[in-house]
Amino acid sequence: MLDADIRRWAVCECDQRWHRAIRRFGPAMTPDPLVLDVVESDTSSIVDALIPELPAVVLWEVEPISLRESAHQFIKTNERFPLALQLVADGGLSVRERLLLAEFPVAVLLRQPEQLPKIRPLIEGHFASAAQPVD
Amino acid sequence: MASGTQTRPFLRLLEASGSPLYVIGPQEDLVYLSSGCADWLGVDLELLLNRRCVAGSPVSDEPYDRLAAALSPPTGLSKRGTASLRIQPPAIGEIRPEAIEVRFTRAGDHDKAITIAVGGTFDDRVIDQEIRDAVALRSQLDSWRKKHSEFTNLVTAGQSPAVRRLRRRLRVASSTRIDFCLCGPRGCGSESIARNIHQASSANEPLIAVDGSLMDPELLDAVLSPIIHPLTESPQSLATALVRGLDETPPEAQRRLVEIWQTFGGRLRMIGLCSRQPAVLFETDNAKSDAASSLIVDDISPEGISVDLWEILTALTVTIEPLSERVEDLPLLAAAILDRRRALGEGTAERFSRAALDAFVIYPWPEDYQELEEAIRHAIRSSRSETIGIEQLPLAIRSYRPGSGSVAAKRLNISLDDALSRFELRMIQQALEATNGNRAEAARRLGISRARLLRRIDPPKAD
Repeated sequence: MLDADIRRWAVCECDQRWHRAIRRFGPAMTPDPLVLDVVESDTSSIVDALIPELPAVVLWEVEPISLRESAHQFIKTNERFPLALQLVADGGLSVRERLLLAEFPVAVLLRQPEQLPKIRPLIEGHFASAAQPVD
Repeated sequence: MASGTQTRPFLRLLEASGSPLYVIGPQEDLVYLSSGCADWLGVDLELLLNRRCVAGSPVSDEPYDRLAAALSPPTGLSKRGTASLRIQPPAIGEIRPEAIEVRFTRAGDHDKAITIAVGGTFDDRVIDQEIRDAVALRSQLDSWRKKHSEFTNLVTAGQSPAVRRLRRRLRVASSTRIDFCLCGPRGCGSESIARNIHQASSANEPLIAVDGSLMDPELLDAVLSPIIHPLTESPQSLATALVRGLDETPPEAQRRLVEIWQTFGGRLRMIGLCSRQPAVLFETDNAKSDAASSLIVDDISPEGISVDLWEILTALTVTIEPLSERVEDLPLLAAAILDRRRALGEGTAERFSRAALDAFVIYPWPEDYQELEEAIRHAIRSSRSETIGIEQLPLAIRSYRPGSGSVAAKRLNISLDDALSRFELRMIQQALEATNGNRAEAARRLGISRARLLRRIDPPKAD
């Protein structure tokens, strides 16, 4: 297996809630022969976690208090890693704040971990978008 | 104890106001309903008195029990003391009460507390996110009960594609008298669903339940005799056989079942219950001539269904998906089971903490619905408050951590031989394309012998 077959899913959150959920549901969203690598990250280490040439997913847990900083991160990550799909885990955002997210490069807003299986086609397609056959 | 003023003037004013007001007693049953409730609900209020009024879960399917349960307060009332909820009572016959906002206020402490509910217009804000989620789950449950009152089994609650498909198929099965197979994992209540379908589609028809795994042809005849006699004697008679563990039924008993079904044509309906989608065993002409063993099983498997039997049941197969395929529905299912248990008087817990629901969501549920039910009963027994936390869940669930999924571990699962073999085949195919299918030339270009190339593209067949 080549490193090109690795698909990284970076999780930026305070706790381990979403990290556990992605380890549970993420492998089923990763088409063969690709391999999922779930990494815990934060705003400073996201640069080390992702490879610009490869499709990746970043899940940000966003709380009202961190919305402004998160918004900067969405833009910076999108510029630096154009193949990274950005998801937001709602940490208690108001309706207005959720609507604000539509202005940023955020693909999906998730509220609870049980919603993860619903986005399987999106993640599967994204991961497979630049996949090379093994042979 | 000092006494209050007379209640008669108050009650007179209350009745004159026309406002719906009711009181839930310390035992969580309806102890008073004002005349405004009669106007709102359109029923005889005496029929509602003393019925259980707990967390949306009716004690039975009786319409007045369902109506009383629909009047119950939202979860978290005992903690907050007051709450509002928009209540849509279920229809009773032709009467369809309108949905109204109801404000609940708790008065008194502990086992003497009563709840006073007043219909009107209020603007309450629920602040606690966890309670807001619990209220949302409760609303979803109420909505499910209202929209799908024909499905009383909790397995049919939810919004996932799997459960929507299930409800559609159950509706088809209930609307017509048809042979069908119901496949579902342990504890999903498939037998009660099958009996409900039987009631809906042919209520007056006799039904006999058969334990398939225990049957041989003689025993099957004996068990089915109460319905076979009427079928033989009267050409108008109808009957249904419900076979539990159809995929575990011995082949001889399956053959006998098919013979009996063929004898009575469509008058004997068959409902089969399987633990999962069964393997179909094939039957050959040669084997049919051998009366001793008519089933040819390539892979000797103790479980499966003969092709003849499958043909009877294949018109409609209803599959209840395992919990691992219904992750989206898990919080709702857990809340529904908790509601039902509470309505039966078990424990005081009325909702789950988010951490507990998260643990339910990531757990893979190898024992399926039965395990979920047992886990919730365990949590109810362990809980001393109104919220079930993760610490009250069984150890297997609260300590479950999904596999590491690490890249290093997965690398070991990649077979080098397989990868090389696929790479070699791809090279050979490219060489053949480049030489317009000339195998000798392709072998020469690849630097291998023609025999080796032929072995790769046309491998010898295994015996």
